[in-house]
Amino acid sequence: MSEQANEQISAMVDEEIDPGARSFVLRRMAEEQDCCARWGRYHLISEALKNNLPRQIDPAFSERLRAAIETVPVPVTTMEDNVRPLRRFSRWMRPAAGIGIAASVAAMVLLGFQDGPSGPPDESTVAEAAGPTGTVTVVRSGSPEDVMKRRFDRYVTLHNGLLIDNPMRGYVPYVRLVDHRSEP
Amino acid sequence: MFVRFHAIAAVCVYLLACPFPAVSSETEAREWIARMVAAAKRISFQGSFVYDNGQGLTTMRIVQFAEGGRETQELEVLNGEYRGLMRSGDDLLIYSEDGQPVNYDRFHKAPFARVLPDDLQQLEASYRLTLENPDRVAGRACQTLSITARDEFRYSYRVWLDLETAMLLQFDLLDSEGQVLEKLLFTEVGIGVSSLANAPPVPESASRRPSPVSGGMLDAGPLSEDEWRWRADELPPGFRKIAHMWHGPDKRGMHAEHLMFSDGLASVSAYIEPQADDTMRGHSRIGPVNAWADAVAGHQIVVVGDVPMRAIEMIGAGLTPVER
Repeated sequence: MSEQANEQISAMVDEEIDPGARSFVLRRMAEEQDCCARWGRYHLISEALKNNLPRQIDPAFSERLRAAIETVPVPVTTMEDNVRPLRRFSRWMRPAAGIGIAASVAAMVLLGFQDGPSGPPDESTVAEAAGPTGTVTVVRSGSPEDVMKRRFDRYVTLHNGLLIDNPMRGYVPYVRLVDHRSEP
Repeated sequence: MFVRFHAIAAVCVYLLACPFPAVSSETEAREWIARMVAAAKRISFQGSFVYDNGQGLTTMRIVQFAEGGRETQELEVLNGEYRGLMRSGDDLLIYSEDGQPVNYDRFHKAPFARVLPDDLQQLEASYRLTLENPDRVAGRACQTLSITARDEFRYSYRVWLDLETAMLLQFDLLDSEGQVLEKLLFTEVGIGVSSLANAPPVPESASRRPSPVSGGMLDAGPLSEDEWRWRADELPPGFRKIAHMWHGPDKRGMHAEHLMFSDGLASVSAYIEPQADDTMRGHSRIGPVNAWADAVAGHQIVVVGDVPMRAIEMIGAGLTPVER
């Protein structure tokens, strides 16, 4: 694999890659196992360096991480013979805390929706943001922004939750439920 | 004379043969989709994949156990803040960034089982199914399919299915210009994982609480026709209503009336609630999911779905109170 390809993978791990190059790398990952393996290694190393790895991690995962850091390059193994569920069940009995998927719609509210009564908005409460659909206005009319976020989260969560039994969509609805970005 | 006969015969054979590859391709594509649907419920696997919905790349790990009609899925995000999900049957648990459960709710069976996969021919009214060239994903040989929208009321899809098991290994959602709106790509996969027979069942007593995200709206049930307060007067071609439900603490005190529509692949939800002070109006998008909100007849309407905005707006504009 060329040095340039390595650099592109590394840049993608760091989310410092332009969209055109990202498409190229994703395509290459689809075609080349070595490229996939390198992506996995770089990502593990990156997350370890940033101390972003989950607090609890299954032993097999730790083994792979250690191997990746100490002996680069090491192929990422498939797990057919050594399968461990992901930290399963151990947390099921713990008390609830926080909101896990609240941020996914934060961008929606900030970028698109207006809230407030119809009619001209109070100038003092208007903010503007550039979103994917253009510059839009967010109007705060006495309703806390986080309340609005939760409201939109609710709709998207409910919708995605109902999709999980759509056999045409496989596991994609799960991914949408879990994926979110804190801020755009 | 002999040469002319052969030339005519060759032309006839060519003309007869020409339509067959397309027909065969559609038939085979339909068979592959049926295999994919079956595989989604039958195959145990685990792997890592990259997910991109235009907001940034996320790396996730998934494990699915399918055994004796029981499915369990676990999913966790490997980069950035920790998030995870576990589902067993109708129970769905979503974890927060610090690894604690945030809600534990029972999602109602979606109506899709009644719609799919028996009605693939209906799907072809809205999408053109095409068998593409073989490919490789995560080191496994794949069959690629294109599911192309026939109009601008829906998005198109490309799927890469494992040649051996028909498991979905790559998924692209495309707009009308062919731009990728959402991509899921496995980088590592192991198919045929070991049994989960000894795993403990989901504990009924485990922190079932009103979800802070759902606002208690996860309790839901179907509404009979004489209970409908709203109807959809106009739908995009190929879409039909597949559910009419209530959400809230109970049917009498429902927070929202929920109409769900699908063309067999894409789906749209319309939520109608009594209008509050903080009415929402406008539209937005996150990745492939579009949303639109308005206030009509003293009610807040919110429509969301992974379809183009014109489909969302058409559905929203067609919602009308039922006069009794």
